[in-house]
Amino acid sequence: MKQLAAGYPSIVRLSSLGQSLEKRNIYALKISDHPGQRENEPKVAFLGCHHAREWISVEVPLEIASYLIRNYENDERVKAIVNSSEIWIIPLVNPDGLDYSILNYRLWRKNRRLNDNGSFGVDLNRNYSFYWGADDLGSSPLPSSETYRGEQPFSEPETSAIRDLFLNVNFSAVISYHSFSQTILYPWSYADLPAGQELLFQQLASELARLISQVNGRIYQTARSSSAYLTNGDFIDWVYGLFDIPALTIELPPVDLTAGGFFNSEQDIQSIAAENLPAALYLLDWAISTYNHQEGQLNPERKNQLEKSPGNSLKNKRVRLTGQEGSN
Amino acid sequence: MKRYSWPFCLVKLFALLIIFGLSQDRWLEAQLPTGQYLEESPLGSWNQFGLDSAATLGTGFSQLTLAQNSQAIFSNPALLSSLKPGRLTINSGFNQTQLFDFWLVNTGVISTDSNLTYRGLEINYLGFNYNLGKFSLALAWAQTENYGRPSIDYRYVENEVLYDRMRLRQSGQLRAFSLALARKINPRLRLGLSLVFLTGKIERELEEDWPQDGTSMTDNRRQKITGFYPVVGLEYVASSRLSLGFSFTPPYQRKINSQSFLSYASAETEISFEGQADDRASQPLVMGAGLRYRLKDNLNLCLESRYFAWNHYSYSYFGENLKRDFRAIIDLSAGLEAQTEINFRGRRWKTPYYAGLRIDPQPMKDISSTYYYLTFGSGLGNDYFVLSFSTAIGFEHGSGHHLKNQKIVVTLDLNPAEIFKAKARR
Repeated sequence: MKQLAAGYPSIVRLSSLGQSLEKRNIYALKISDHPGQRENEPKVAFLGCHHAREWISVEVPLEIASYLIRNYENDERVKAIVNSSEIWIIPLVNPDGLDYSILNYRLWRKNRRLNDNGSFGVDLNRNYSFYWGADDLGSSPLPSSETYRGEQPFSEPETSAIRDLFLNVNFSAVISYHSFSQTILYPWSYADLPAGQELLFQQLASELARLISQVNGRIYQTARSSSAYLTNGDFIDWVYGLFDIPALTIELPPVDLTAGGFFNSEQDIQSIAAENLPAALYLLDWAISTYNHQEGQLNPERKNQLEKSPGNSLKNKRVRLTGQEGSN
Repeated sequence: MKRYSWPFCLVKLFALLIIFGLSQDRWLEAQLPTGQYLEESPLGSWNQFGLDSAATLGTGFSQLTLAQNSQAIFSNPALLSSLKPGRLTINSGFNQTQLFDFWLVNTGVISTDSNLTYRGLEINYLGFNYNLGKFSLALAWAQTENYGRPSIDYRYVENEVLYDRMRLRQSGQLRAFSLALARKINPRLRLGLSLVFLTGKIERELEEDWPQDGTSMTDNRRQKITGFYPVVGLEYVASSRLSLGFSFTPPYQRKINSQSFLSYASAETEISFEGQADDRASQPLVMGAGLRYRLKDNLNLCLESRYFAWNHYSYSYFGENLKRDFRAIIDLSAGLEAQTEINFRGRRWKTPYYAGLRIDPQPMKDISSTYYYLTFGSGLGNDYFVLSFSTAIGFEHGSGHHLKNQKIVVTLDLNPAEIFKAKARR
């Protein structure tokens, strides 16, 4: 990331969103024609590695960044996208966990919080405030659990860093990469209920899956996140619940444990990154084409409301969705 | 006005230093403790200073002023000049060390209610010293560090169904080959220089399988260690009662060739990765100073201190510089050596007795951990051989786990020349 920022300073800015528990920087690349400025244009975020063992989820957003940056001068479509939007790449939300996964235990999932009972780790994708701790099925109150939600929403510096970014930047769409299962998931995750914009999400997810399949022939299923299993306090529910924008989880290959689980062969890394590229470009084009410049900036009053409620204040509340009533 | 002799003042000062060291020990609460046992931590203590013979172990790890045999090659080679020539030494050691958090144990994957214990027994020294005029030579092989960890066999069973099985193994040693030269400069001053060549390894094996899923994972890592460093030693005989010893080891780099093999297997696929990196460990400067004072004809007091510049330590593991927030430390040791004789079966036998203390602070900043050792020993010998043995019992304080470390050393010193002469006379 440092090399990309140093090599292409006219379109790239590298920043640290904050530090992890073990004092590692959580880096973000901002790619735009004026990366040092705040412009009234759509912003799209691609995040990876909430879960430490999902190594491929770091590679894909990095490859998206690299592709956009290296092809800015010689690809008209890329140039148009970069000139008309801000692309935020945060490939490593959980650097401490990834370090432990590489150096010690390949299947480590959580961050490296030392819990009161001597166990380690909070599941970062259960630590966001929207319906945090709604039940003990979608997350766990037990520190030794793989889905431990933490002592309170945003108790972890990693999720706090992401929260602060989203409070300061008005995003139009977001993809959070995970692995495995080859699926594209959309809210809600906390309950098997349709989101107000589920039709839009289904259309977006289906188009992304179609574009992915055209590259290597891999089929990504699309579904409501809660249809497989419930999760509460997760990232995409928080983003959609608070900001009312499309937020998708892409679970990267392989499809199941028999096909490799959290392991990807070296030969597959490039192909998985390559097949997700058209989908990422499509989402960027969609954000640009649907962007409302008049509503571009985050309403100060709305921002103030969000800043005052970083924790549980939105629990059990239904956020009114633009143009539609929330269900139930 | 009462006047005290200056050696007595030194003893009082040393006692004050020990009390000061005890009072500095405190428990620090840390969010993410580095852990007592990191990847490359040797068993027992970070502060390895050569290899202990029974005499040096028994006198509180006193290695700078007390030389039983050629093992001084690693700590203060100047002492080789004081040895009787032509000694062959074999040393064996038993090490029993408690650990709480290491590798995957109590760092998130596997938890235990209590400390785990590693036990190792090995022959860890073979050496020979010889005099040539004013020069003394020594040649030695030793195992100076042990990187073993308790083996773990873990099974997760529910309703008599095995879901998860894990096996952890870690082993490793650091071996040293050394050549030393010492010389009496004048009746009071002796100098010595050792060249120490290191070779070692650390091996980790992790195997895990999930029978219900039909999947398995293997993670093997091998590290080969090489290095070289000199040890400069000095002994100054201040008087018939007092000797001073000094030792200096400059900082040096251990080169580590690291290799890894990670694989995942299922009924339909096998995925594997191999990795390789050239790593380094920047070992600290070590300086030591000590005195040996003859309290009575056959009773010696040893007081020593060593400085380890761990604040400059760094370590890379598979290409990544790992965080090692260490501090420089000073350790303290005090010991008594008594040489007596007994008559047994018509022969005169030498019977040494040893007792000692050591305060051994560990270098980790986020855990203020210190080992406190009590040491004892004795032996039996004559003109042909000396068989001596010692034990050191260490109690750790500061990590919150009250770790214990016990060492037992048996040293056999042979005098081949006298043995051959005796056989010739017969």
